[in-house]
Amino acid sequence: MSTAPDTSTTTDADMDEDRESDAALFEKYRPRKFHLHSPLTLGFPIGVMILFVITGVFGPALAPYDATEIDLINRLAETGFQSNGSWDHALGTDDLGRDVLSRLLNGARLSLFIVVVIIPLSTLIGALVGLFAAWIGGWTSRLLMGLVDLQMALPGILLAVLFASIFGPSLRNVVIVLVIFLWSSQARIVRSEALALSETDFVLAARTIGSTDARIMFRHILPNLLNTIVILATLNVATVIIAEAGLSYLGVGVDQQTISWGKMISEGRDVLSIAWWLVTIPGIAIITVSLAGNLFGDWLRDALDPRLRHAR
Amino acid sequence: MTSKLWAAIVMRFMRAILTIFVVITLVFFLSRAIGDPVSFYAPIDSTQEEIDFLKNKLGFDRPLIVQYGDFLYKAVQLDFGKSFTASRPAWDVVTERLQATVELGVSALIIGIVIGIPLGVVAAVRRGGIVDFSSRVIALLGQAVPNFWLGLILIFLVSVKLGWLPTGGRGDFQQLILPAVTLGTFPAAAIMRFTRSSMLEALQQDYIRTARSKGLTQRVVIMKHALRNSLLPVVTLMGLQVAGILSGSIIIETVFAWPGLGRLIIQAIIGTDFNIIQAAVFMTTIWIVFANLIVDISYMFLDPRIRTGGGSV
Repeated sequence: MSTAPDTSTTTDADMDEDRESDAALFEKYRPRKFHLHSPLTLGFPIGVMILFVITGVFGPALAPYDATEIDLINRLAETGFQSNGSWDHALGTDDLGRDVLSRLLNGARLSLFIVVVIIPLSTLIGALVGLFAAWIGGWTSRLLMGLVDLQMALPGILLAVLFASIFGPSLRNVVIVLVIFLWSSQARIVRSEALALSETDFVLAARTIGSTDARIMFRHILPNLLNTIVILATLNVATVIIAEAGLSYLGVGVDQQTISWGKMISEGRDVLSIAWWLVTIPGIAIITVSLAGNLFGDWLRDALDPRLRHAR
Repeated sequence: MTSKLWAAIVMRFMRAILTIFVVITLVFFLSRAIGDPVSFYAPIDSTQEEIDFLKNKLGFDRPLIVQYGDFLYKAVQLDFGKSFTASRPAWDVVTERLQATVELGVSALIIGIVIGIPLGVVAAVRRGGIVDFSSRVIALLGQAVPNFWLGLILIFLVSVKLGWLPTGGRGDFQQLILPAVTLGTFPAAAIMRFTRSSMLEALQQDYIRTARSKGLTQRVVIMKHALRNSLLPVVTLMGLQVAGILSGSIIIETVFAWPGLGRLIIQAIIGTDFNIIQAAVFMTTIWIVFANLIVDISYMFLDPRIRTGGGSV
């Protein structure tokens, strides 16, 4: 067991020695000089998330101006941080003179709404389909997994563009397309994890005492999958926000009246060379929230389920 | 066990064909839902008789299921009809545009490989070091930055401010650089993360210890023993990146006015050019499905554990 010369004959000492070598091994493979997931870095994602929720809920009330108010005299005003800017419009104005800060705060509401609607919906569908496919097996399972494969072959963005051209751009389309796009990854992972779990001893034990399939699925397997499901849902927050921005940028996302960070970028595109902040600022908002979502998801993964560490 | 392997390959191939069939069916019915195709042939002031005549002539008056059967029969022969806007065979337009997308996509993948693999190797070998840390930060950022935004920022900085490269279009090599870099960032981050974790796993194997105890240099151990064994999952990832690059190219081609398949699809949908939509989606699907197919099959051949039927295929 241990080769150290001073190992005493008692088993206690042997175990101590073991513990030491475990600790040494842990030390050896611990990330050394830099830490990405220390308690300090956890503060950033949590802080951003709280800020995101607050601006999402109270955004329009916090906004200094009406986000749709056109003011052609003050169009393309620079931000308060630039030499020609004023703090009246802290983040400047767009090419119609609308206040960028107010639009940003309003846009947060849409992003929050999309996250709050799409993540639970796609997670629920994905988890249920995955569990069901693992439980039922056979042709039904193959059919369901065939649907998942199909999802991989038809890029979500293509589906979104088709949908938008049929029904016109709308928030509803964005929700439908992103739910369709996201449930499949959940379903695939939940199914394979559920299948792996159904081979374990505790499931065999439950089966031996006469538990029904449904009871095994929902009382024994599902609770063991909750960590995985929550982690994937958290990591999907960034995906949802970036995807909505991309669709709205292409003009196949939300409708004309809705304020979205992606649409702010697309509106700023034409005046990029004279007013770079119109593109830059909403982009930074998207990056900050996505980064926070991913960091929090990574942290959750490391904390809850080390097996998933290499999954992504 | 070879017959089992061949059976698995045939099954996998059938599944690929089935997937293409389902996608093309979906696209046929979805694109018919966009609007009445006759309205694009007939002048605005045409009478009902003229419209009916056109409908009859073009076959749009037949039951949808017959139209669908006819469509499938022609699709197998790569005949998707004429483009409404270009009045040339849709398949020709699509193949022409494909070259531009392949050029962009391959460049992006090369950038991803050239940046991703070395960084991943260094990050794994010097775990916890500065390269590991910064490459993880870059990978995290790569997953948080919308690619179209990055493209716009690059246009602003490199083209508008510095004037080094053109803002868009296709022609000379300089016009390729910015879109390829933009499209290549995500694959680079993904390949890097994957190489890193795959290398870390390989470095802990017994054969690495054996190689080290034989007295081989660090360089040989890493390049010949660890890297070679950890590249298999990375190859898989590259196949999966094809789908990512193709869907990424739709938006990046729009940002940089790159005349490829992605931009063609967007234009065709705006202009309701059915035949182009169908041909282009067919082409995209074939690429993605066959990339996945090749990955799966090469995996079966490359991994002896799968080849000899050690586990379930």
